[in-house]
Amino acid sequence: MTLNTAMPLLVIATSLVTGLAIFFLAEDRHRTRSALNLVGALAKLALVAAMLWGVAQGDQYEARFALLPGIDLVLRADALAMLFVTLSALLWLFTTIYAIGYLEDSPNRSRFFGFFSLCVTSTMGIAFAGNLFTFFLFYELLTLSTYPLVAHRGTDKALRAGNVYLMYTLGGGAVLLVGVVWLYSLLGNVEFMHGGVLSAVPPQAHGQLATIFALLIAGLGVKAALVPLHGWLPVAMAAPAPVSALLHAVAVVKAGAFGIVRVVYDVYGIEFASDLGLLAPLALVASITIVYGSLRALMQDDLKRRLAFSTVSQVSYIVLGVSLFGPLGTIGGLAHLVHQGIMKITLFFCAGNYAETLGIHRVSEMDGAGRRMPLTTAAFTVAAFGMIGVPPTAGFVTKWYLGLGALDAGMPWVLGVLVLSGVLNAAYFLPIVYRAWFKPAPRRWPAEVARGHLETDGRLLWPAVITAAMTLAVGLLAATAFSPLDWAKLIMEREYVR
Amino acid sequence: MNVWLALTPLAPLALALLATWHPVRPWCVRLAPLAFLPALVTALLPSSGGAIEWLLLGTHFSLDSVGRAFLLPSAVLWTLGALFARAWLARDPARGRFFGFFLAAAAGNLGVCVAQDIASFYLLFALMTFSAWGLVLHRHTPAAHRAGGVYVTLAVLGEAALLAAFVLIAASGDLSLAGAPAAAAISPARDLIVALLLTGFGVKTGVLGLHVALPLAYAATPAPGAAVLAAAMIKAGLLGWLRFLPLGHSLPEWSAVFIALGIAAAFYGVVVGLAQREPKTILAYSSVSQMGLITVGVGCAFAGPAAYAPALLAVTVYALHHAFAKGALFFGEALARVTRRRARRWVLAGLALPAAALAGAPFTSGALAKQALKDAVVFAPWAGLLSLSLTLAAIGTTLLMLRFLWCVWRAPVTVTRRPLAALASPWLVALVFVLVGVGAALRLPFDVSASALLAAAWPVALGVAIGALVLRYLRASFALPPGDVLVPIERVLAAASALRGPGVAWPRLRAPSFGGAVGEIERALRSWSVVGALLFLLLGAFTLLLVFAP
Repeated sequence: MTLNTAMPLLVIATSLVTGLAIFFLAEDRHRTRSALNLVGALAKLALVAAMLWGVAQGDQYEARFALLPGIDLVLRADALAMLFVTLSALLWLFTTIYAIGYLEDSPNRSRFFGFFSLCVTSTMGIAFAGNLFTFFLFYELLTLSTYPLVAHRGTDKALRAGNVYLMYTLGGGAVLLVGVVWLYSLLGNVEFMHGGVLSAVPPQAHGQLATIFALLIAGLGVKAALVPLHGWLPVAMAAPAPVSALLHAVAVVKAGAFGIVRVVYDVYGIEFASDLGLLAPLALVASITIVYGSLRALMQDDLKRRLAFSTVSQVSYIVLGVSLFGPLGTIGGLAHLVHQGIMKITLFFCAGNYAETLGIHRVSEMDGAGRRMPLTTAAFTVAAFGMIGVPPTAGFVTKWYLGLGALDAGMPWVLGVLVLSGVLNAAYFLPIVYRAWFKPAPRRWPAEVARGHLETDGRLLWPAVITAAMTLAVGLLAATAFSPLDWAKLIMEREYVR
Repeated sequence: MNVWLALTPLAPLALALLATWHPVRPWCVRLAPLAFLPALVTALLPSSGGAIEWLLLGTHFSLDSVGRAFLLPSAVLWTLGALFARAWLARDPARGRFFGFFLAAAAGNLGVCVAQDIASFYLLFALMTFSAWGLVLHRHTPAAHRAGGVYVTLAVLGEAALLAAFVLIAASGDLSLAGAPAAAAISPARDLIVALLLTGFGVKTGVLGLHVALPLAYAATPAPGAAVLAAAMIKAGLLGWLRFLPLGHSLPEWSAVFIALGIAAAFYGVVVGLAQREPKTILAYSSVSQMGLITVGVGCAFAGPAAYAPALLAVTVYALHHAFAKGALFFGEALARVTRRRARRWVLAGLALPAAALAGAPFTSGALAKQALKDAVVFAPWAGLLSLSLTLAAIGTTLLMLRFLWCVWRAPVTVTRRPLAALASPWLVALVFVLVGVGAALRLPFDVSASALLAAAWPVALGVAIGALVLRYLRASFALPPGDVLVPIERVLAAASALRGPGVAWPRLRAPSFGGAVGEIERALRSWSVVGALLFLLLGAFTLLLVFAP
């Protein structure tokens, strides 16, 4: 086995092995568990960095195992995979640090961190999947490894959230499976390839391909929270904050969106999908999701629910970018895969900090929180402006390219959707910022807990501050090498220029 | 790239960021006026621009002649504003926070003057807009929160319109500001772009209908903040128009729209301003009126290639003049508040100078600006009518300034121990700029022929005469609520949100409610606000008729 074959496996192993080891750790082995988690996360990050460099130079990383006759398990690191892998590996590190601080002294931590690692393992598998079958395998693994995290607290609400999550995602998985099998019956094993593999299918089967496309998108759309398949996401906010971060930024929602990217670019091929007329409906669904999610977010008083609906809206920017035929839309959508992750994880970290430190769960309780927790609120503010799309944040870069892509693709109405969404984002984020900074603080916080000499526990504070700084950095340095935008351009070139 | 040019936005921004750190805050306040030194140097000395490829989407900064005409007054006013603010807020425990927002807004304002690409222009413009929100909210009074809500709502809508406009312009593939007007002119979405720019920047310049945030914001913001809002930041919107609008191309419809909106605002500002009592609110309506006249100039630039140069000259001269005059008025108004009768007489005498300048009295910067505007107006097809309108507007402005001086005179004394000398010196410097600064800077000789002097003098004299007559015989005044048409709009919104039910945490856009005994007044106000709305509609219809009539 050469190093190039081993690399994807090693990346997966760094979380798989630590995850399995953690299951067998006694509950009170706090230090060992934290050390395992962090070593795993750092090792993964180092491996990913090396691979990122390699892929940029044009190296090939592929591991292939025959699983069934005619069906291989393929792990391949192409530029698109690396976009998702890098995001997840990086955010996983911060989420782990955050989770260690967040779950201090709570029960069942070994179980939690075990599944936590498995969840990231599945995500890595999804990213590296080189064919539809492998993708599906890890996609279902992700569902199963996330359920215990959603239901982790064991309260009625948490269990209900877990059930809803399971019903939605297993249902989505079943629909996805139908699509995958149908495609297999037409073409045999479907490998992911730049430019797609279906354009050779004879025209009489094009009707079938359109139906399969609908099935695949519906199956993936559950995790990507496309309206009307988004119902599980706001309910799942009953989970602990680090799990929300995982759901919204690192793994689950992203896996759905990433799957859609793969299907459009590497199964159907963007040109072929456009020829079949599949992109316009997808753009419409994404647009409806964007506006509907924002409108619903506007009506929520619960902070995490507001953020959840915001995710519904924001993740569809990725889908929207994918559905815009042309390089600029592709760049915008792919860059947003990373941008949304960084911004949304910041917001959930901050929401968790407010809840854990001051007992704030509602927007209406946010008055004066900025005075008490300035760094957290500064981080929240940066991410909120990012969501609105104000320069120089990451969100601006996304909007810019999506807008240009919309004009390029001959869908100028999408520009209207983007502008409307920006206004709605401002309408539900700015009041929070306004309350936190400019309203007088209450005499007593709902449930204040002293955590160290900083405004809150450093393990909760610094991840939020760092990801907020990244929100600014990826926007300010968008034109620099290895920025998400730059990487998205690389993927675009490999997709369009063949 | 020239280091002074780079420091123009960076120095205030760095100081603003430092001001977030508590231990060094007092130093930031002390050093604030020096933060604008690079901008002053850049505005006065020749400088070389340059590109920063790795920043944002790839940026470019340099100073051209238009940028210089905006950078110079802005840099001076921010410096004076900082000096004034140090003295004005000497006893304010939250002055560190004020300076943080102040410096950040300044960084944006000065930065847009040197930005030469769309992305960095948008970035700096947004920085200015959202930082100024903190200035509006600074006092934490209910009025400040209401003003802040209205301000930020309009700001967000403006930013959204600008994003759409910028994307449509950038679809040409050129991100430079130099290419923006041409790209807008040949774009298939040209009219949409112009409309979006009109509204997006119009939120800043106070285009009629979008002007409602100005009176509230100026009244709520502490005096030095209001001064830079009214004198410097409002001009950034104008700069945006000059940078992006396809001026110099012949677009008669848009010429008509801009001129109509401008003339309407010029008179509307006067009428509603006369119905105000709070001096800063009067100044805000004066800004609406004056920016209306500048908008007329912008409209003239749409009249064709020949009109472009004179219109551009008129607009920049007018902007320069208005910046210094408005700054001096705001500083002086604040100064008058802390002086007793005797000293106030001197302040009032000083205030008469920028007031006369705004009215366009001879030998002031206003006379120059009015002349430049009249030279531009000749290119518009209805030149005679417009020229007459400008003269009428001068009479109106005179009346409005008299009303302002009267209200300043009558305003109650706020007895505070503020360092009068430190407050007076930036004001005096602003006065000097009003008097000679503009003429010297532009090297334009005053037209001292008898006819020109007479033409400039008689509207002012007539205005003063009318004012004296009103004071002597009528003594009547009518009142409109600040924000005029906003009040009925807020009522509709409040009713809508009541229908929708509770749970939305947006700061309620609602007029401050009054106690039972004052109910009568409120009812009167309400009827007046209805009248205000009608007036607005009528004026609009009238002006449209005026413009489109053959």
